[in-house]
Order: sequence, then structure tokens, then C-alpha cells
Amino acid sequence: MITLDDFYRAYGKVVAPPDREQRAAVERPATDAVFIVAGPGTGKTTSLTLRILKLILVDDVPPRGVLATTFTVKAAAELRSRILGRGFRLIETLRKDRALAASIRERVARIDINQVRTGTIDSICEQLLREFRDPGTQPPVLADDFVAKTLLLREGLLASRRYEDKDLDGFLLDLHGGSRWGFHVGRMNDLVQSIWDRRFHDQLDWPAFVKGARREERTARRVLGEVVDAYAAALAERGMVDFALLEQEVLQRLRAGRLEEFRRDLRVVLVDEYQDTNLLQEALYFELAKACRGALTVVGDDDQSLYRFRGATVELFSEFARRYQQVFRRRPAVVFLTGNYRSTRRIVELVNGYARLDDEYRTVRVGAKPALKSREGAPDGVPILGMFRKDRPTLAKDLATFVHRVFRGRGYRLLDGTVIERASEGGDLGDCALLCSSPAEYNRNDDPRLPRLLRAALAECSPSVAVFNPRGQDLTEIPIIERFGGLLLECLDPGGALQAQTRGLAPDMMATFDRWRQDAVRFAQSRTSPARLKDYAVGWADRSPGRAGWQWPFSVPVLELLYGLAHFFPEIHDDPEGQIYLEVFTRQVSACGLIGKFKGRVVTDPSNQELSDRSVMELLRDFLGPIAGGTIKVNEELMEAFPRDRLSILSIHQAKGLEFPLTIVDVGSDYKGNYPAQAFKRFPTRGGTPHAMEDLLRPYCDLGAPRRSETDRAFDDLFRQYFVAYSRPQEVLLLVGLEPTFPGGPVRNVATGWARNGICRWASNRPFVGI
Amino acid sequence: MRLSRRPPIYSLPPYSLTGDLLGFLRCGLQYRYTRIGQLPSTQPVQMWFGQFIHGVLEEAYRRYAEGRKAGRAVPPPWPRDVIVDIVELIKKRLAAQGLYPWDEGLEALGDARAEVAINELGPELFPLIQRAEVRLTGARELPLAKIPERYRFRDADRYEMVGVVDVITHVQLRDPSLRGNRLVKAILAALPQRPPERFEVILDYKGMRRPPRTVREGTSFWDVYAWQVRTYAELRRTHEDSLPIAAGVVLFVNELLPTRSDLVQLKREVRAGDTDVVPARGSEAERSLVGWRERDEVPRFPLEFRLARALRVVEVTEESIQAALNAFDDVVARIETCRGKELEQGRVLSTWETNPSDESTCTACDSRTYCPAYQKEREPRLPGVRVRG
Repeated sequence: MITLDDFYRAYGKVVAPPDREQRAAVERPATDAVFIVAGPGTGKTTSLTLRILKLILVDDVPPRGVLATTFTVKAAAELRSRILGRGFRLIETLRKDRALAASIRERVARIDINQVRTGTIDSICEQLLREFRDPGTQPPVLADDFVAKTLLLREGLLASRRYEDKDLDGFLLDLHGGSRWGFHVGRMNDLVQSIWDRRFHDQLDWPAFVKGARREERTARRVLGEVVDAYAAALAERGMVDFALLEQEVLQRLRAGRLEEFRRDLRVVLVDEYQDTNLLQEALYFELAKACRGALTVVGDDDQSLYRFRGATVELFSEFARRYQQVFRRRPAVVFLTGNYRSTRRIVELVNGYARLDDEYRTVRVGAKPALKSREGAPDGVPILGMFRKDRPTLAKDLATFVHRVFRGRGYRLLDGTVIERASEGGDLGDCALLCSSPAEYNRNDDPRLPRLLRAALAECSPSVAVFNPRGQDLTEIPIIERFGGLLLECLDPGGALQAQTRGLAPDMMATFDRWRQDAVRFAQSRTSPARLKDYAVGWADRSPGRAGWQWPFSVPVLELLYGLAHFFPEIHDDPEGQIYLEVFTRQVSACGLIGKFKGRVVTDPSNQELSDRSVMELLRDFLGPIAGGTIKVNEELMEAFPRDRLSILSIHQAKGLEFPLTIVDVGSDYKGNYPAQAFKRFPTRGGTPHAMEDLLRPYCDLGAPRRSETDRAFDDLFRQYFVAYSRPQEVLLLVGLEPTFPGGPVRNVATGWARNGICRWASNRPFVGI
Repeated sequence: MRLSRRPPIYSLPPYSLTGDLLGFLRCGLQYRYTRIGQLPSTQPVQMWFGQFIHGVLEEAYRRYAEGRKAGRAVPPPWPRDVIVDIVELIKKRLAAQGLYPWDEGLEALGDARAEVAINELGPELFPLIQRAEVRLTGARELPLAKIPERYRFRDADRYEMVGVVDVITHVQLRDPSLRGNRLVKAILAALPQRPPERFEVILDYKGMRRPPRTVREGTSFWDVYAWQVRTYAELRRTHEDSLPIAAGVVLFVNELLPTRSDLVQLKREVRAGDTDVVPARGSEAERSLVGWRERDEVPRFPLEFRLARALRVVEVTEESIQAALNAFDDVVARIETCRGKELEQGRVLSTWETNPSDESTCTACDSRTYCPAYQKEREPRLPGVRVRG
């Protein structure tokens, strides 16, 4: 339609033009396969966006012929935003470009860029099954994670009390790591769900897996087979599919030559975050690419692959060229993006050094991968900073002082006189984040961890500073959840008479219920309890409308109780964070409504007490049980943005894809010594659950058993985790930990420069200055 | 050394014509809770009915189109067992999504309306349909000038408009098979000038009765529905397979089979002069309506009258499209402002617009007891039904 020169001329008027490497990725012809290896901050999304726009405007690919997917809902929204935002500005510029013939300008004006299909692979699969379905057939009803977990728990583990099976218990405990700590029915459910997902993600030969065990495991695998069969039957009975089944269904349809109308229009497939792909998704992408003669572009970075625990197989990325060639009989063009636009030179230097620190790790990286390069004119920046203190309270206090001085004071002065200050216009705590391997506020022994101590220390500062840490607390222990859950229990089942008779409530759920109830009763009787709350709760408990001439209805949605109680808690109905917790309850009610016999309703039939009781027992088991059992997590998609006036504390996983002007990385606030229980987080002596899962399942799929030991893979994952953490900052990186983790100190720790051969590279060549 | 400001994530907010625009106009605070916060309603009756009617008509059309593709189109009326099959399929689909009628009366009414819609509307509508359930998207500049600077919280210069048109019809005036088609006749009669030889019409079903033309207080949904189809027209005309769009049609399905309360309301609106479609003088429809009393059976009005009440033809012109787009922009600016306020103030109740003008919206709202604008119920009532006798 237009020439490449026209394209770049117009693009240059919209934003900064691409660099040489980015151009190489953008300019490959539409029919080519392209393998883009893009380091952090190298403009990966920009390049992908630009390639899509070039395909449409220069190569004449119709927008509806472009399919672009990525890993998370947020990343998909960002990719779409960029395609539309840049695309429209580019089209406007071209429409006004007098150097182009009028007929071309007219054609450009007719382009409907919105028709580019974008989304996560799951959302795309759902769209395909909905839009291209046959008459008389149902579009898929997607069982979201709430429904899937609840059904698996109820129909799989709790039914027939399979969770009590000793063989299954031992089998899952092994996968959990052998310790009973944190091993409850919710955790068992998570493990079974992972195996179920991997059955499809790894394209397992399931019958072979179930039969092929060592004798001592045979019973456990048989019971496991029963658990997932019961789950699958329960889904099928309701006409539902979960995410794994959804993708599997689309793969089968593509392989059977169906979805013709969609395949006919498809011209190019582009996949972002390909390092987190699994075998099922690879099969899907290859099938889609077959519809467009192999025109597949993949983008990613093996150093940033963090999702092994969700079934991601990084080898599919690092070996993409070979695997593509096996299917399509040609090699993809390989493009490396190395120009870093995010960070100062010192940070880029640290990140490069870190990637080369461990000889073993270097062998698993994409072959011939060049180092990151700082952009021209990038500042050196301040040195990397390190804050190591003798104990956690001191560390928290000093860190709070640092944060407070930067964002609420006159800045933090370094020894060389440099003062780190917040941005002069609108600078605030949102420009900073603390990244940890886990943002949990308490450890196994209920001792406060750095996030908790920091929260307290910042609260004591003047003016005080608040912390935003939605993942920091176990949901069941958040005070408002405890209180709300307890009130719901007391309203539905006062005193717990029915709870005691409810089948399918695991002991840990009951214990949580009891704790919640005690808290709620204490609260309702306290002076701070809102007026009329007690009357409302007692009315519900007695099923008495409290009005003469009225009687309690036969059936009431439990949602009515939920919203009635929410009335008494402004921290629920008037606080955006409280809304997120309320949504946990309502989503679980919806899940319960979808799978239960009573559809999330409380039945009150004085002539049939048994029926009434059963409706309540269903709510205890399917509504409140999964929340109390720890199966349910908050929906982070509901958080519009990190609040700018609070310090965000994030896991490194949460921080992926984000950047912060000032990034604080907790490299060792938990480690006072080389305690074996913490080894998996700093210097593994064996693999964790995801590695054990791979060893268990991979022999039954085409990939075969992993070639590297589970310990080596655990090391690789830790290096990737801190590679991601160290590449988040734009200007200042501060490492924090306890003194024993100081490089060269007694604690072996991958995050502070230890290679797996037991040598600390940072001991003799410390990359930071202490503060 | 001064830190920079963290760049906000670049994201274009998507706003849909139904879920967002209409939802916000109904009530901003309710929209915050139910749409943004995803809190489900305790009374999803309207949602069930709307989705049921849409599902039934779409499935019926799919079956008709399948026959047409195979060269043996059988337009409705169809026998009862076929209708039942369709209706049950859709009910099952909705149940799988957690939507139930919860009331036998409502379910029976849904069944009856489904049958009437397929068998009386279908023969006129299905032969005209070119595509059903068409997803339309577009992007417009974010109306930043209408959003106070302190509440602008995103790094985006545009927003994405999203909508799903129920039906796009293609009409060829000289097509002999369309001679006598009631829909075509109604559309042509409503247009001030003759459309081109081939044109298309965008059609949107509403699972409700025809709203009054005059609204004394609050949002005029008469106007809002017109904006909606005109905005669809704007988005649709960029499609390569589109024809000149002569009109939009809003189809109020409930008018095909009105209930007793619909007739009570109709009589009231006729008396007050608030509705635009009234029975012709001396017609059978007029006799039925005038003579009807609330205790009487609901009469079956002639199809001509019911269709006239059901159909609202909205003229689509360049000016009317621009006015609709501006109206859309205004609503987007109001939503963005509320969102920005909430982010800044960390509160919900004081930052969102409220709209207590429609009593039925408020009484069905689960947040009514703490809504700052609704004063009739200040604390939750315990569930109860009156004891009879």
C-alpha cells in the first residue's frame, strides 16, 4: 500500500523511530517466520506493534488477518492499546501526507485497525469457539478459576473423602516438598489442578501416566485419576470447560480442519512472551501458523521466563528455531534486540554481569545471545546501592528512613554527596517499589517479615506513609475477611450446628470457620459494632423478618445477606480495596450458584427442615469453604493502578513487565544463616514442586524427561527471578538484606552473586556501594 | 539526582455501548459496583430476559441461515417442537452462566415472547439479515478537555468503543422477494427520503417495552438508544462489506406480546401524550385499547400495531452521527472523571455520580441502603413476604 520509507517517515512524526535492531524485526516480510529475542527494556512491545502496523500498511495484510497474543490480560490490553493508539495516529499522519497519492491516502483512511485480533491465547480460543460455532451447539461456558477450583475440590477431592486417601496424601505431600507445613486441602487441590492442567499443557499420555507408576505409587495415581475424572465429568455435565480444556478443544478443531472461516482470513500470527509457552500452546500456534503458511513471529526472553510453576517450558523458546524447522522445513529469521531504553548504564552493566555470573546458567540461555547495550546518551546514574543490616527491625527502620527521605523529605544523601530526590513534578511513592521473592507479611513461624516491619516503620514516620501489599496477607487472615466471613457463618448457621454435620469440609476449613466466628461474635458484641448490625444478624440467624404480618421467604439469594452485611462496613462498600475483598465473596457465591443444587440460595421451609439445612450446608461447603480453605485469591485485575501515594510491595513475578524509577530488591532479609528450610529461595539443594512435577510428568510427553537435574533447574529459575528483579529499575537500584547475606558472607545466596559452584563472584567484585 | 516520574501504563480504556454507556447513564454508582467491581445483582431478572430473547433470536436465525446456505431456507412460522428446542437450548446456556428466571410467570412469558418473536417477526426479519452478532470496534480521541486535569490518570489519548450489533440487514429495493415485507415497508415509511437502491439497516433488540418519548426527569433512554444505533452506524461503515447505512432500528421485543402492566402503562402514556405510536383512529387496535380494563384479559392486538410499537426507526445522517459521538464522548469523560476521582481520593461513594431518577433502578439496586442519593431505605431490611389472609 505504502512504501517502507513512507511508513517510517510517518511513524517518525508519531514517536521516536525504531533503532537498527528493531527495524530488522519490523521489516521481515509478512510471510517470514521471525524469532525475536528481546532483552529487558529493549522495546519488545514497541517492535511487535510496529511490525503489525507495517504488515498492514506496507504489506497489505488486512487487519482481520492479524492475530497477536500475549500471556496476561494486562499485557494483552497494553498490546492492543499500543496497536490502536499508534495505529490511529499513524493513519491520521498518512492521511494528511501530501507526498502520497490521493488514492493511497483514501485507502489508508479505510483501514479499520480495530479488526486486528488481540488477546491472551485463552480469550482468543473462547472467541473462536463462540463466533464460529455451528447452529444448535452451545458456545463454551468457561469455568473460571473460582468455579474450576470449587468443582475440583468438591467433586474430586472431598467427594468420597478422597483427600483422606493415604496414598494420595503421600503422593501429593512429596510434590509439595515433604513438609506438612502449608499442606492442607486447599494446597492438595492446587497440586491436583496443576497436574490436571499439565495433562493438557504437556500433552501427556494420561493413561500411560496413570498405569505407569512404581508399585508404591500405583494406588495414589489411580485415586488421582478418579479425582480428575470426577472433575471432568462434573464440568461436562454442566456444559463447561476450564482453560486447559478450552485450548485443547480449539487445538482439536484446528487439527480436524474446522474453523475454516477463521483460518481462511488468517495471514500472520504473532506471539509475545513466548518464553512462557507450554507444549499445548506451541501446538496451537503451529496449527494457526499452518493456516498462514508458517508466518509466525514470536517474541520473548528466556532470561525472563518465570512461570515454570504454571507449566511454562522455557526450552520451547530457547529451541524455537529448531522446533519450527522440524514442522515447517525452514528456519526462522533470528533477531536480537539488545538496546536497553529503560535503565542507567550502571544498572545495565549489573544486569549483564548477573546473566554471565554462573557458568551453568550460561549454557541454558539462547545460543549466541549478545549482552544488553545502553542506549546512546544513557546516563551512568548513581551506583547500585546496598543496605545490609544486622537484623530485620533495623533494616526495616533504615529502609523506611531512606524511603521517607526520598519521597517525603529533602532527599537521601549518599556518601559522595549525591542526593536522591523524588521527581520535582508529581513525584511520589508510586515511583518506587519493593520487590521480594514473596510479599507475605509473616513467615511460617508467624514472625513478621520485612514487608510487615516496613509497613510498621513507615507508619511511624512523620508524615506517615502507607503500604500497598494486596498479596502480603493470607486472605483468610485479613481482618475484614475474617469478620465478614464470621458474620456470614453466624447468620447462615448460628453456633455451627450445621457446620458440624456438613460433609466435605476439611478440618483446616473448620478451624478457620471457628476462628472467623469467634472474631465476628466478639465484634458484634463490642461497642464499636455498628448500630443495628446485631439485629440484622440475629434476624437472619432466626430467619425472622422482624415485622408483624410477614414471614421469611422460601428462597433467598445469599447475595442478599452479603450485601446486607456490606451495608454496615464502609471499609467494604466505600473503600476500593474493600471492594476487591467483597468481590472474593461474590465471585465465590457465583461459583457456588453455578455448580450447586440450590444455586447460591438459602431455602427456609419449616415443613422440610432437611431441605433447609441442605441449602445451608451447600453454602458452607461450596461458598465459604473454598475461601476458608485458602483456595481463593484476590482478583488483581480489579486493581486499576498502584496507588501513587503508597509504597507498593510486589513479588518479583508481579513486577514482570513493569518498571520503576527506584527499585528496591529484597535479596536476603530472611536469611540469618544457611538454614536448609530456606535453601530453595537462595541456594537450592534440590528442586521444588514445579521441578518435581516436571520429573513426574514429562516422561509421558513428547518432550521426554528433563535433561537437567531438578536442582540445576531450580538454580536456573532463581537466576531468572533476580535477572527480572535487577532489570526493573530505571534510575536507582537498592539491594537490601541482612548482614550474613552480604556478598562473601556466610549465607550462600544466588541473589548476592553466588554461582552454583559455591563461589561468590560478588565477594571480590562487589557491584554496589553500601548505605 | 532527581528521580523521574514512573510513566503510567499505556492503556486505552475500552467502553462498550451497552455495558458501559447505558450502565453509567442508568446510575454511575451502580455502574461502579456492578460493572467495574463486577458485583453480581441479587435480582438479575432483566439480565436473564434480555439475554434469553437475544439468544433465542440469534439461534433461530442461525438455523434459518444454515438452511439458506444449503439452498432450502424455511422461514418461520415453525412448529412448536422446533421453538421449544431452541428455547430450551438457550435456557440451558443461560443456566450454565448462572442465569435463571427464578419465577415461573417470567419463564412462561419469556417462552411466549420467544415464540411470537420467531414466528411473527422472524418471517419478516430473517430474509433481510446479512450478518448477526457483529462485533464493532472503533477508537476515538479521549475527550481530555472535558476531564479536569487532576483526574486524568492514564497515559492514553484515545478510548476504544466496543459494541455488538444484533443484526445487520441488507435491503435491495427491487428484490421481488421483499415485496410486501412489513419491516422494509415500515423503514421506508419512516425515512424522510428514499434510500439508495441497496442499503443496510442496523438492528438492535431490546428486551423491554417501547420507552416514552418524553421523560420528565433523569436520563432519556429514548435519546440514548438513538445515539447507540447511530454510533453503531459510525463503527459499521468502516467495514469493507458495509453498504450505505440508511437507518438504525431499535426493536422493543416486549411490544410483540405486551403484558397487563405494559398496557396499563401504555394507556397512561397515550393519555399524557408521552408516546409516539398510538393506535390509528377507528382501528381495531384503538377499540381494543380503549375498551380494555385492568381486570380484563390482555387482548391480542393486530400484528401491524404491535410491529409499529416494537419498531423504532432511527434516521442515520452525518449530523446525527456526529451528535451521537459527541454524546458518547461526554459520557466517557464523566466516567473517566469519576475513575480519576476515586483513584485520587480512595473512596467510592463520594466520587461517583448517582442518578436516583428512576425508582425501579434504585429499588433493584443492591447498594441502595448506603447510596448517598437514595433516601427511602437507609438500612437493609430483612427478607420477608407478606402473610396472606
